[in-house]
Amino acid sequence: MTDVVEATALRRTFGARVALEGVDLRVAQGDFLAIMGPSGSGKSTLLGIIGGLDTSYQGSLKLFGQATSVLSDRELSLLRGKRIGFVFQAFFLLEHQSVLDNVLVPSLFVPRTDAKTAALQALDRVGLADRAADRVDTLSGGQRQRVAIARAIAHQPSMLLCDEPTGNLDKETASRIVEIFASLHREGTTVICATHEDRLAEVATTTLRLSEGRVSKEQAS
Amino acid sequence: MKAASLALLVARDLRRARGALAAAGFGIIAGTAALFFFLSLGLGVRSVLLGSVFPLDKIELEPAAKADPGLLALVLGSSPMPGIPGDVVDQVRAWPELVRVYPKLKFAFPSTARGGAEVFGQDIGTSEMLGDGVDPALVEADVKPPWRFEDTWESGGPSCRSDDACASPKYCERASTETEGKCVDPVPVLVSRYLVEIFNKGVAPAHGLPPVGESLISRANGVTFNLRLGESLLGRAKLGAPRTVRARVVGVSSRAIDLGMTLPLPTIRRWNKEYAGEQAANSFSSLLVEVKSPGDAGQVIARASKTGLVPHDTRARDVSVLIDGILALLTLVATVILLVSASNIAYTFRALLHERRATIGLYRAVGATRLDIEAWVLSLAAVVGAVCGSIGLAIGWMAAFVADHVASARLPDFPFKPESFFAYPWWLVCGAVVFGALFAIVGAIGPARAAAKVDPREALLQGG
Ligand SMILES: Nc1ncnc2c1ncn2[C@@H]1O[C@H](COP(=O)(O)OP(=O)(O)OP(=O)(O)O)[C@@H](O)[C@H]1O
Ligand SMILES: [Mg+2]
Repeated sequence: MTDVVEATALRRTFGARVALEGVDLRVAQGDFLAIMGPSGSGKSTLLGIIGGLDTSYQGSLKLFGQATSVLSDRELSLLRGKRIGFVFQAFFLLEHQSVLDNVLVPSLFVPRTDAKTAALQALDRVGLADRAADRVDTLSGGQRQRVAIARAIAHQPSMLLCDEPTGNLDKETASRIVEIFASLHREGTTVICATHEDRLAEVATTTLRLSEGRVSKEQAS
Repeated sequence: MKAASLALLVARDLRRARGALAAAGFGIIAGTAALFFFLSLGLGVRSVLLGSVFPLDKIELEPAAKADPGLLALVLGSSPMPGIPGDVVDQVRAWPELVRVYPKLKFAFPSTARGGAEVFGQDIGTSEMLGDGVDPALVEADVKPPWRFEDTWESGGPSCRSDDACASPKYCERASTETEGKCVDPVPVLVSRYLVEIFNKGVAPAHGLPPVGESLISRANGVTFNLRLGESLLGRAKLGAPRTVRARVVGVSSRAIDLGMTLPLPTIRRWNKEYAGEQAANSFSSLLVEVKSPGDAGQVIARASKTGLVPHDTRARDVSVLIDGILALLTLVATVILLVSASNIAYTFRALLHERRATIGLYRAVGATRLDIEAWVLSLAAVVGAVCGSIGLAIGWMAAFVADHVASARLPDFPFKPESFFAYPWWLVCGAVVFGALFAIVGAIGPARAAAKVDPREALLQGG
C-alpha cells in the first residue's frame, strides 16, 4: 500500500531563520500521527507543507503517491479540496452564516452533487444535526470546532490535518473533540494532528516530536 | 468554480458588506449619473442643432468670386449674376463623396409678396422677397399631399387673357412679353422651418398675429398669396414688365431657403429668362450637395474650392465642432469622476479583503484556486459597479427630466426650442451601466490580484 504522506529531507526557512531542517516522514493509510513539540518547533510549518498550503520548501514530498512539486496551482487546489480536510485552532468559520452553510463552503469550490446530504451527515457525525440552521455565532467554542470538523470531513477526505484543534477549548470540551478524532480514526481516516494535548497524543498511533525544526532524538522510542 | 457558487458568494458579500460597498460605489453612482446627464444633453442638443437648425448632411456650394451681388444688383443690373454652368454641375455630380446634387437658382429680379388673409385675418406682405428655385426631387418628402411641387405652367389649362377666364383657384398666368397666357394652378411654394419658427416665436407675438405652425400647410385650400414679379421697393427689373402671379404654400422644409420662398426650379428658370435674360436662366446660383456621411464634408469642401466653389454656410460645421468639443470636455469630466471612483473601489476592496484574509485562506485550503479568488473579487466589483451604474443612470435620467421640465416651464419660447434637450439612445443607457461595471472592475483588479496571492499557510497556520 502506498503511503499517504512520504516526505524526505524537508527544509523550510523564513529568511535567515530555519523553521524545519532534515525532516523525513512517512504516514501510512489509516495512521493517526500526533506532531508534538514546544512552541516554535515547526509543527504548523510541517503541517502547512504536508497539506499543500505551502510550496516554498526544499526536499521532496509525495501525497498519495504523487509528487506535489509538479502540480499546478489548480491541480494542487483540487487535491486539497478533494482529498484533504483541515481543522484549525481558530476554527475560521463564517460567523454570519448558518452552520450548514459553513459546512457547505468547500462544495462551492469543488462541486459535489450530494453536497447537502453529505454536509448533514457530517453534522450528524459531530452531534450537531439539530443546529444545522442556526447561525454560527450562536454556538459555543466546542460546538464551533465541531462545525469546523464537519466542514473538514463532509467530502470524506483521505487525510485529516489539524493544527492544535483543542488549543482554544477547555479541558472538558477538548476531550469531546479528541473523542471525535479517535472515532474518525477508528473508521479509517488518516489523521495528522499538531498538538500540545497529551490526550490527543494518547489516542494517536504514532508521535513525531519536533524540536527547533528537527525530529528530536527521543523520537526513536 | 460554477457560476451558481460565484453568485452565492457575491450575494453573501453584498449582504454582509453593503455599507462599505455602497460607500465605495458612491463615486461610480456620481460618475455614471454625470456621464449619462452630460452625454444625453450633448446628444440631444446636437440632434436639434444639426437635425433641424443646421443640417450637416447637405452643403450648399456657390461660386467663389464673392458671389451674391446683393439685391441692388438685381435692379441695377451692373454685373451679371455669377452662375454655375451646367458642365460644372455634371463635374460635381461625379464626386464619389456625394449622394446627390441639387442645383438651385435664385430670383434674378426684384419681387414682393402679399397675402395670408386666410390664416392671419389680414394680408401681410414683404416689400422685398427672395426666391430660390430647387430641384423638386430635393424636397419631395416635405410637400404635403395633395399638393405637388412642380412648375404649374407645364400642366396649364386653356389659354386665357385674364383671370376671369379660369376656374378658381386657377388664374391666368401671362408672361409680360406675351398677349396670351394659360390658366394655371398657383405656383407651389415651400417655406423654411426656420422662417416658420422665426415668425411664430418672433414676429407673430410682436404684431399680435396668431402663430402659423402646421396650420399654414394643413388648411384644405392651402395658404395662397400674390407675388409681384419684376418690381419692388428697390426698383424694376431690366427686362419685361411687372406682373402678379399667385402662389400657394405647400409645405415646410428644412431644405427651403431660410428667409424667402422656395419654388420649383423650372418656374424660376422661366421667370429669370423673362426678367433677366438667357444667361440668368441657364446657369445655377448654387448647388446643394448631399454627402454620404458628415465626415466627408471636409473632403467635399476641399474639392469644391478647386472647382471655384465655396460653401455658402459653415455654421453647421462650426456648430458641430463646438458641440463635439464641449461633449468631449464633459465626457472627460465624467471620466475623471469615474477614475477617482475606481481608485475609491480599489481602496475599499483592499481594506475589505485584508480584513478577510483568513476567509480567503480558508477558501484556498478547501479547494479554491487563485483564479477562483480573482473571479470572486472581480465579480463582486462588477456587480457593485453595475448596480451603482444603474442607480447613477436613474439619477442622471431623473435629473434630465427635471432639467427638461424646468426648461419648458421657465425658459421663454424661442426658435427651435425643442420638446426635450436630451437624447437617450439605447447604447448610452447600456453604456452607463457597462461603464459603471467596467470602472469598478478596473479598480478591483489590484485587490483581486492581492487576494489571490494571500498565502493560506500564513493566514491559517501562523500564530494560530
Ligand atoms: N512567516 C514567518 N516569518 C518568519 N518566521 C516564521 C514565519 N512563520 C513561522 N516562522 C518561524 O518558524 C518557526 C516555526 O514556527 P511554527 O509556527 O511552525 O511553530 P509551531 O511549532 O507551530 O509553534 P506553536 O506551537 O506556537 O504553534 C518559528 O520559529 C517561527 O517563528
Ligand atoms: Mg503552530
